[in-house]
Amino acid sequence: MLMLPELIVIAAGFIILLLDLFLAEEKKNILGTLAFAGLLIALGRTLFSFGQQGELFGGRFVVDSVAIWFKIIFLLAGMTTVALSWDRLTGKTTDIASRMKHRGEFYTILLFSTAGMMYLISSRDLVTLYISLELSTIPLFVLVAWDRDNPLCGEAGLKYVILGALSSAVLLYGLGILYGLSGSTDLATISQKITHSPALWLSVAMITAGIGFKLTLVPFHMWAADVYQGAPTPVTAHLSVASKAAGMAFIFLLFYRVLGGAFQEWNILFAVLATITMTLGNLVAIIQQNIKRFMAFSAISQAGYLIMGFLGPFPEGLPSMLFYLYAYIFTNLVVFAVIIFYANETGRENIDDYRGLSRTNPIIAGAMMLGLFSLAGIPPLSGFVGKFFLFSVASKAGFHWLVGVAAINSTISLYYYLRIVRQMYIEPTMEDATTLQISPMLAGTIAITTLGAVFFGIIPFFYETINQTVAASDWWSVITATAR
Amino acid sequence: MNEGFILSNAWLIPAIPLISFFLVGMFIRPASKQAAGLVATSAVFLSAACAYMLAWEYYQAFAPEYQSIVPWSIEWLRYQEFLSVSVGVLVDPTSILLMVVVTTVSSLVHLYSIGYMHGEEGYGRYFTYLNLFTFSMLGLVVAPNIMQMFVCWELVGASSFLLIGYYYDKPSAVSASKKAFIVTRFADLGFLLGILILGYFGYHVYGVLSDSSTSVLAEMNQYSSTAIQPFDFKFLNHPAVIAQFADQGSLLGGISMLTLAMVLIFAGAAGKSAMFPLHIWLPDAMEGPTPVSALIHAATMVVAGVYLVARLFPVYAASGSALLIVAYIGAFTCLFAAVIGCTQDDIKRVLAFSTLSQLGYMMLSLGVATMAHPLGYTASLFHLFTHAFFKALLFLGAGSVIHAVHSNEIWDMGGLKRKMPVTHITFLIATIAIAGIPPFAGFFSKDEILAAALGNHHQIIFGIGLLVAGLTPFYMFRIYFVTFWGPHRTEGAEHAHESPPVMLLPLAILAVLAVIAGFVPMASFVHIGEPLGHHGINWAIAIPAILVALTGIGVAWFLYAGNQDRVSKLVQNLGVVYRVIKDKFYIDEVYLFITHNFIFKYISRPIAWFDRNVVDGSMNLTGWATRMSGWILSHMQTGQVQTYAAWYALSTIVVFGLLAVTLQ
Repeated sequence: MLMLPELIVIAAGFIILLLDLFLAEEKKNILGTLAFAGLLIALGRTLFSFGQQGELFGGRFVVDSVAIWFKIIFLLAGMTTVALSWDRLTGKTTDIASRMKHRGEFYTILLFSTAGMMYLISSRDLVTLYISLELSTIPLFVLVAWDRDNPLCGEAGLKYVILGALSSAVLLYGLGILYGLSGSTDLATISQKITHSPALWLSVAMITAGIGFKLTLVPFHMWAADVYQGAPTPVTAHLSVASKAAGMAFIFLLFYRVLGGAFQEWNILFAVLATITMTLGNLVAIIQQNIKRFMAFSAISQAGYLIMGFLGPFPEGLPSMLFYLYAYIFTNLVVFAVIIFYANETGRENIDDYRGLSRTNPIIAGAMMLGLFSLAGIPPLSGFVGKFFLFSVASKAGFHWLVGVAAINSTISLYYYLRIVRQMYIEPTMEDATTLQISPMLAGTIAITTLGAVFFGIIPFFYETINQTVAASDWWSVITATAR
Repeated sequence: MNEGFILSNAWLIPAIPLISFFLVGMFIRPASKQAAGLVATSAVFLSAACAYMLAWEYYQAFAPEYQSIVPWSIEWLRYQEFLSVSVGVLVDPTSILLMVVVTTVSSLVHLYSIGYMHGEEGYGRYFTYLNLFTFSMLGLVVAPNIMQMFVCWELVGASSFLLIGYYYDKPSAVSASKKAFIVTRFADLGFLLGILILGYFGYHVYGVLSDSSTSVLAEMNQYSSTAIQPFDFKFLNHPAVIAQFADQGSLLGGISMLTLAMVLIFAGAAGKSAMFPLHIWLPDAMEGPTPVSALIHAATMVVAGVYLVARLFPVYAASGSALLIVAYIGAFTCLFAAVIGCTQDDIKRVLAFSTLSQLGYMMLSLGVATMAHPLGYTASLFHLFTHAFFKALLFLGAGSVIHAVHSNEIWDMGGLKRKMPVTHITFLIATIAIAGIPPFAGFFSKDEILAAALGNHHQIIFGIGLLVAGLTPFYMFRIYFVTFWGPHRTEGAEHAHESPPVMLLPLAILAVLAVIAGFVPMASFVHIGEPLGHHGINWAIAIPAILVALTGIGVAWFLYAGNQDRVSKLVQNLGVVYRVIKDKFYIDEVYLFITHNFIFKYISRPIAWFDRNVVDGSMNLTGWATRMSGWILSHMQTGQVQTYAAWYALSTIVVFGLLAVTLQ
């Protein structure tokens, strides 16, 4: 029963694939409902299994509280993506170019990718780990290139697949070295056998590069701008949250469970990566015009903050990162939901196009502003609280300079997030602007994600809940046991 | 000790206006103007009811010792061991007195404003600010430590700024609010410096005491919900602490640190209480709506300075010279303002100068008291108590007149006696009360002040006090005769009619209070040091004072009640002297000269230049550099997959290099 959520998701995927063959076009709305319901049931089942621990297949598939927290993220991201792509797939958008076709396949592929991510965090074995990662990534290549008639979209898909293959190869090579060093694919065994050697460092460098690609860490981030801009916006939203969370899950398993106790020594690597990631992301975001490209660089800089949680090992590291992930997905999805809404209705994607949105659609502009402020880390929104915990981890690890850098970067980021707020609130309204109608699906999504972005900041016990439940997992004892 | 509900929840008294401030400001004001006024007013009435309950419970539970207690407090800031600050409520006879005065006057002013401000633009905003003002003052009054007092002190300043500048489209109101804020802020700099000096030594002494004599600290901890802290009034005022203070060494010229700290703190008090030479903001502060003036002059803001000196009285008493400065500045302001008050033509301006003069009485009375002969302390607070009622009444009465005549000039009024009977009677009662005619309230407190001055052998101050006791009735009856007697001088006065009942009710209540407040046996409630023996009216002082007052009234009657020729002749004879007094001794002009010719030229301009060029320039440079680097970095993004892949491979090698170098 431990694997039930994954099985539900996969089963839903197959049912949709089959039904898609038989259903008449006008009845295909049921596919989206099915996809959503499948994810929702899996989410319910996952939530229900809180407090349970267990393993399958001789310890190769483990469910613990950490895995559950990650799975909730993946399922929420999947559900939001279904909601965000609803209008485009059902052809309800005012802007005809925004519409997308082949919804049966879209949902199937999305669900498979989600299932891959869910397997990923439960894996305790190099092979399962890699297969799960591929299961989550390859569907994303397809999703990115969904609008195959759109040259920009095709280009994005091609770039993503080429560079994705490159990063996969590097990652696999890194994992191969680990196997070579230890003679085992079991994470626990590897962590006991490995010793410091140049081969290990090479392996770590390659794994970092492979995962840096998924997390959009500078300098492995190059693909992000072009792919984020070219992909259909719901897919971009999915990439920016789910794919990043999957990367976090992977890096968590390898760096905490395998390299465990020796971890302190890699600190400087993460400090440097965090510094250049947030700095470059923020600086380049300043001059962007296209809002999706802008969000790509914003996402890059957020990844820089996120990996500050790895400056450990401290028991606070993982809860801080998880909390930030939650704050980040809700916040980021608020912004993407508004971007999708605006593109659906007008087909516009430039920052200048948001002129005077606060006068035509004040509530939506308000939600967007809250989302942007939370991304910039303005109290009392969740982004601020999340950053606070991450910065305190960095400070505890002795990287006070990094906290300074991160604070300066937050200031820079406030500048460019405010650029959009300025367009919405200060610049004169566009000549042909009228009040735009919002579909119930998007309105609901914006409402729920905005509430999440606000309330995670205000409700203090959410972090405490993560902290306490995560303590039930064995991740911290694994680190302390292998400390040397 | 059986603590009642209000006694253990004394925080309610300041909290109710605060909650109402948020409610009215954020939710009710946008919805309904009428509801805003009603909610704000009833909140303050509720707070007043709590204050009365508190007084009742306290005097029941703590008679006859009257300990000062801290029934509720929470830690607010903790810097290190021994150095922490709480937010709490201090209950002792003095704070209860102030709470009762503030809530009573404030609730009546709220009630009056419902009528007075009817139909004004920003009616809801007005009540929001009024609630904030009341909260700030109550927070100040209940402060158990000097830090909380300072915070609320600044809040009082900020909310007075908002209220004085209420008519923000009127340039004179804007400049008056700025003036009030800047002058009091300037004085607060002294206050803050004084706090820092006092706090530094307080912390030091605290360490000494906690090492050597813990019993002293334990004694102070009695009746407190949190441990005593270095900034607490109870700590600072304790004899053991003051004895330690006295040993803290002296500066150049033999001024002890204690005196320096107390003089600096008095600068803050003088700013808020508008003592000479920081008095210039108060006469202008009448640019706000008249009920606000009543609140500022009677119950909040200006009495804060008197209250601060009274709170720290034992420390002032330990530094005799600081107390002497308080006494002489008080006495000088008392005379100075009364003289100016005789020449002003704006009814509110006369009342403003009379407030200055009466505050001078309170300050001088504190100044002449000592720990051995503390009659002046009681007298000062007694006068604060009685003055609050008749001054509020005078201002509200003046507001009623202004509301009817639509002018502030007394020469535009006249003959209102029959047109506005209730206003007339209540105004007359207040005028007699301030003039010090028995058995009205002002007589008792003024008599006690004069007795205190003479009792501690301050003959000069007693002389000034007696002289002002004659000037006060003169200028007060001057405006009374000109406003209410004689013929109608303008159209406005011709068509004046009585104010609505919602405005008259507070007048009537205050009139009753102005008559009976003097009969409160203040000495048995509020005192410091040894309990005062019961002492009746000192007729040797009272009779001359009454005679002087009657003379003042007689002169006013002679000059202003009938033919005005006598006045113009007198003014002509006085010539230059009259001009100088009428122009308030050119104190404002002196300030303007100094600020324009020295401060602006040699301090402000260089700072402004530095700000515009160096500070702003560096900010612009940072912004420009950031954008430029973003632009340069964006060129890495070529759009070529080959470039991306090359970067990727190269970066992997760099990461490996980094690891190899750091882990070697």
